[in-house]
Amino acid sequence: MMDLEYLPYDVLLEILHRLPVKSLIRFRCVSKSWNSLITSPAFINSNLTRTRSHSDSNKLIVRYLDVALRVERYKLIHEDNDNNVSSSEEIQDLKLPLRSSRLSYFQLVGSANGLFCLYEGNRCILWNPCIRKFITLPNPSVTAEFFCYLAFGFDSRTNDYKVVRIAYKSDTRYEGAKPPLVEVYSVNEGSWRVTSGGDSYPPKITMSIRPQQAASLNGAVYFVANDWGNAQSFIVLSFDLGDEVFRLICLPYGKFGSDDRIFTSEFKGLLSLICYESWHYIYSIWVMKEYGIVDSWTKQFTIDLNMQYWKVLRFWKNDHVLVQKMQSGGLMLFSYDPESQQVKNLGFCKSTGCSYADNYVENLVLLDKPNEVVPKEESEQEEEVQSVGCHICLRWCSEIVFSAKSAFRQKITTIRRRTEGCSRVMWQ
Amino acid sequence: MKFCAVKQYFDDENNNNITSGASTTMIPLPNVESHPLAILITYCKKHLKIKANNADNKKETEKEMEQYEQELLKKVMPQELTELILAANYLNFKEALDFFCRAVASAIQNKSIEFVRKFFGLESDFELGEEEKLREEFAWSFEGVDED
Repeated sequence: MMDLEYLPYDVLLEILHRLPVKSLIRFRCVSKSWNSLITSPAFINSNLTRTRSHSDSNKLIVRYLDVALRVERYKLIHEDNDNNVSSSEEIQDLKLPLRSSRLSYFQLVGSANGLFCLYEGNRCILWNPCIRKFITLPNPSVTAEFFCYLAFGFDSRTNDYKVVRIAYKSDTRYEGAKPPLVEVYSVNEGSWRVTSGGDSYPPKITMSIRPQQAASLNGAVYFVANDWGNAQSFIVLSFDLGDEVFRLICLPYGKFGSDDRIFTSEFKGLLSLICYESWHYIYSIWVMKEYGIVDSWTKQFTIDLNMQYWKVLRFWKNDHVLVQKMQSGGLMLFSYDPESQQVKNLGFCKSTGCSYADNYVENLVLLDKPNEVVPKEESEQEEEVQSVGCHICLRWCSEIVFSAKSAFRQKITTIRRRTEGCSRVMWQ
Repeated sequence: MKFCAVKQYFDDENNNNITSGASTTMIPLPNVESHPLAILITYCKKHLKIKANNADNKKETEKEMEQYEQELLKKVMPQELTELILAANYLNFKEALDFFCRAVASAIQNKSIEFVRKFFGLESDFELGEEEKLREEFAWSFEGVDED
């Protein structure tokens, strides 16, 4: 036992920085000084820097949409040094404590270092599953008259997370169209700020018709876009979180057809494209070896797994590919090693729709923000769902939602979705 | 020289142009007890020995060092760890400081608030009800904590 007076402040920091997040959260209760130390922006910041530098890419946080309607869940998958895969108890089927006010799920804007950005309509939230805390962003000031696009990224130069909101005023396919207005929310500043980003928006560029999450790497966010000045060909549009300027990155000529589906991603710290070649049912992975040099785009490898309903999610463990496969009752996650071409099972998610995964880093971000209380009507509502699977196309065709809020079970809504190509709908 | 504070002493002596016979100079270390100092000296010697034995194989050095550290931890009481940390901090012995801080963090990470307070000799200074409020807010972080 020893006297606190003799424990130097920097020594205490050395000990605290080596504790897992769960312990840090609990030890807020040790004393007032420990509480203010752990929740100080400086500590949160340096903790993030340390965990990022020590992290390996062996941990994934997976977001999936539970079969019960409007509930999204999170789980951690990691591989230890002996290549054993396990699901962590710390984040195992963790439920987002908010429900979408519509009969649907929150849309995912993106994630970085395990911090998620979600939105619905005008409500945008940031959610840190590691400390189980969320904040609702204030309303942005710009109204999107035409179309609005969101992206989320991390800027390591300032250890800041940013939400980028691109509000289109007109159809930017055409010459002379009004450029969009760009607003950025910074977690450090805690507010939205209108930028002059729109000034650098290149002409005749639109976001890809089926917008996916923008990749976030090296302090910028990257979108797949279409260049209407060049026969609607694919191009990558980037927005730098530091200087807040748009830039274009051309793709190798003639390699991508209009039927291909392309997603931006990160591969070993480099900008990469995940391309689904619909005519061949295979994925090809392209990597930009030298940033900004179009000729350095390299087809790294192709993936042909000879199975149905599978999709590439991202890369992990350096160059391994995370794959999801839809099957009866949910999704199976696999890890594919392009060198050995071996496939490893990572576990099953009872999910409807696609899952999403990010590399996981323990962090305390948002801990210093004011707490938000979940409105009673959102948290109390219990919903029981009977879901029906279609055995023909192996998709979820219909869902019936019951409200168990009162003593009587009321069928509050029925949602029926018919999947393309399947004519059969089953009722239970 | 691993004990940076001691090294500093020698550097200062050299700067003052005093010929220091290393074998006969006595360096005062008022803030370090003899027991933790002995352990630190042993740790340091062992570390240098392992490093010398595995000159180009960094991984092997790390592995052997880890094994030694595990053995050492078995012999050291948790309460002694804080003394060792203070000694390593005073001597500016970075490797030992890192190791012992990790050991303390490992020893306390799954423990209760009461245990941690006792360990560091702290007392709760919260207002009435403040602590309860915090505990309620992050109730999940109290799950699975070791019994005292």
